[in-house]
Amino acid sequence: MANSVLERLLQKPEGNGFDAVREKATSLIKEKGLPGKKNEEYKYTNLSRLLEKNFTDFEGNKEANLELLKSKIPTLSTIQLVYVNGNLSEELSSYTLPKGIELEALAANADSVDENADEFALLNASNLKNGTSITFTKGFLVETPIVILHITDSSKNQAASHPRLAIKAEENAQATIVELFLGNGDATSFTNAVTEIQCKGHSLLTYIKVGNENDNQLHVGNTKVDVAGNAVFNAITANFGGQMVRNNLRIALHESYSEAHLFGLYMSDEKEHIDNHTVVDHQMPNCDSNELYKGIMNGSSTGVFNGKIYVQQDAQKTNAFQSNKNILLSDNAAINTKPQLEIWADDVKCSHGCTTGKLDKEQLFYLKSRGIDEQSAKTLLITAFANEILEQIKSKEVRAYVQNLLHNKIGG
Amino acid sequence: MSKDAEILDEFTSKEYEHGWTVDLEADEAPKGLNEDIIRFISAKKEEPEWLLEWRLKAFRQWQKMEEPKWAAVKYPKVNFQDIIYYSAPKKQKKLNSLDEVDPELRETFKKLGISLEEQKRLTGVAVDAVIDSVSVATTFKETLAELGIIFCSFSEAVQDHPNLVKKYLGSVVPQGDNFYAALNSAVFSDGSFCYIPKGVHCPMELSTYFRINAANTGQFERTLIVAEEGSYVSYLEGCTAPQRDENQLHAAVVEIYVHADAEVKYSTVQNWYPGDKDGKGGIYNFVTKRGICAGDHAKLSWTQVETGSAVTWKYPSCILKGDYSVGEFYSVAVTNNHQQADTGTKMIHLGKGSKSRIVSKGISAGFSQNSYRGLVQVHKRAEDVRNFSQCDSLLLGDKCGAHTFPYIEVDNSSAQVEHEATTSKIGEDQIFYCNQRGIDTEAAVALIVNGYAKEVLNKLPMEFAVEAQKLLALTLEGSVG
Repeated sequence: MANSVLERLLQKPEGNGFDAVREKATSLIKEKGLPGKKNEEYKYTNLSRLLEKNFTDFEGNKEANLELLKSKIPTLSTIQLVYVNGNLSEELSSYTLPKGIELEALAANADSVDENADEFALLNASNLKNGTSITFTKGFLVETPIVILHITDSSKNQAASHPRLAIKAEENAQATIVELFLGNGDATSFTNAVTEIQCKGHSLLTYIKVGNENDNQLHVGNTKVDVAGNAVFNAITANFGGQMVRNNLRIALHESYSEAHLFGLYMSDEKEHIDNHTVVDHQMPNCDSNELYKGIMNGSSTGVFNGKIYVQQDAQKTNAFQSNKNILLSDNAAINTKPQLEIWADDVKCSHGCTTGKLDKEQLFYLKSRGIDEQSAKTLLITAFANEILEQIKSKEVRAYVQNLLHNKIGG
Repeated sequence: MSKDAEILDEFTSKEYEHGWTVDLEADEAPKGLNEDIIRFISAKKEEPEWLLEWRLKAFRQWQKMEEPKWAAVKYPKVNFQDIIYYSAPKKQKKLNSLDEVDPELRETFKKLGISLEEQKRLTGVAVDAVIDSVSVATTFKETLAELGIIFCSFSEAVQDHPNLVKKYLGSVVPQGDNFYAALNSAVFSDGSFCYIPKGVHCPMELSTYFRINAANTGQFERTLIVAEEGSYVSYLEGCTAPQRDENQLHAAVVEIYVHADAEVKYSTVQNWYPGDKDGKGGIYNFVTKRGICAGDHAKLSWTQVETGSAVTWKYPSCILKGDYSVGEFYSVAVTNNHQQADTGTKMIHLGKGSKSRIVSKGISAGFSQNSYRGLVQVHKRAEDVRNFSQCDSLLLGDKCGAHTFPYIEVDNSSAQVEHEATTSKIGEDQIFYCNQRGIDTEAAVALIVNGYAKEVLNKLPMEFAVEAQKLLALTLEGSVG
């Protein structure tokens, strides 16, 4: 069905030594095709149709207007790597690296292409031309968050980018990494990111993904995380827009005593569509996971949440909790949610909860009776609702930046 | 832990208690399925032309459909041409009293512990007993007739009340609704029909016992319940089946039409043969149950206790079309050995102020898989909808699985929808607490499981609650208490 779009997406850049990866991924994705509505995983998010309809040119934007983009870059003092349409912009990036960080070009081999991977992850691999690998070395504590900024610039024509990032926290390392996705331009663009994360034993890694894209941007992000024994992985995902956004976050707790904490906030208005799919796979005993996702839908936007918790047969003494809360602000907004538990072990404590409703009338009344006008009262309640997630961001600077995005979204 | 293993062993080695066969001279259709077989069934039952056409239409739709594969169950492919689609006890005559019932048949009921006489005399339950697809005994009909209530076998209803059947048949579950509903629509043999007139409060619990009897006989029951404005009925359905090695298919359809201000309470206890401890044999239970609250303030309540069948695939649903209508679903599903259950409900909110409540309790033991799969859908124009769902799973043993697949689709901002689910094993501290007070582990576990399921069991009518508790105790005996 979506073959023609696939052909265009699969255009091969020359050289770079990733030929084998591209070749394997290309044959796999050709076989599978892009997921349509019949695919249970993409039941509510039919990207293929949008890609088919909106794209005429997948060549991408060769020349970006750097001057204009400069103004878009948040002034964060933290370390920044800036990618424009998937290419590292030396001009925009600043990289004086502190101790404990190693930055390299990505090395990949064809064996790393998993045939069971998500279709869009395969599509990313079939377009692989460069990538970045960040390693937090053994035993180092890096206090400053590393910010990786992806700008998809479609100001001149349609743009597609397939950024790829590999993050590794070695034993006992501690670090925070922020991936920030911004958009620029009026033409349709498509960002198809893959991030692979490894947390080695006793490491502590916080991964923050922030998306603030335009109404003409499509975004798919595949984040795959492997957590080793005694390691702690924190994920905070915040999305403030995009024509259609899909985040796949897949975490495998593959050794004992590991932990994963997932927090998510999605806020959409107008005709936006934000979809978060998470998987927490408990493979070994004594692991904990904890998940809280919150959504605020306004206008005629749609939110989708699907959280899967797998507890494999060996994973006894598992604690896994999941919660999804949604607020619908307008009559045309909609939410499709599916919190899912699949459990094959018996000595476990697992629960999930899910609520959907509008702003509490009594809380609104309470505030109004104290002289706060309706709009301010609503803003107050929404901010409080969202802050439960944003407060998880420990870096003050990054948190302030994200909270500012939230305020703009509520205000707009 | 060794004690647990012992208990589990004992439980898993427990044979099905209701396993025997009665030799009734069956009047069977040849194996297989084609239009001629459908014509044969229809002719055999002396059905009017429109019903034959209805069946044929369903059959033609069914031929174009594919077996659903999305449920979390695995079973060998069913050969639909290897099934006998019609069998009936030969000596059919109208019966007015129990004395006229085939003595062999009555023997069957005695073994099951369902004495028609006793039920009739002591409990006041009217029993419409179905053996091999044809009703052979209907009781209390006269009492009900005085109130204008029609409670009879489906084939009788076709003969005596064709207009009602024609009006409501397929109104909730259309022929082409799904693969098994289409199959049922094409070949349904018999079932029950129940009509409660306007404003009538049915004074007794209505009940049907289904049994699958002759070998290789697929059972395709069709139940249709219509509750007119302001009426009330509580309907019970219970099942046990004899032991068989060959898998048997059961694809029933239950349709319930609830008019304004009426209330229907539908309760099921299902204990079909689940297969032996190696997962051999057992019933495939692929059922479509759906009701519509068509009028304002209508109420439909499903209660089910599922302990049997090798594979269960069942989602009793409510379409809440009327404003301020109410849908309820209470379920206890127990699986053991290699049983698989994929069950849940659908609450489709179309009416303003409609409310629904889902309470599902799953208990899995042995190598079984127990899934809850549910949908709560709030349509755009359904203002002020309220839903609460609770799905708990209890795991006994480390080889079984418990899964939850809730779909929640909300298109209206005034809706308040809540879902919560937990999965755990029985708390060691709870058992310890009981032990401390002189209650041994087995009894303690029984106590805890009973308490766990109580919320649902309480919803069953008295007559059934006793049977359900017995069933639960029987299924859990040896494993946990």
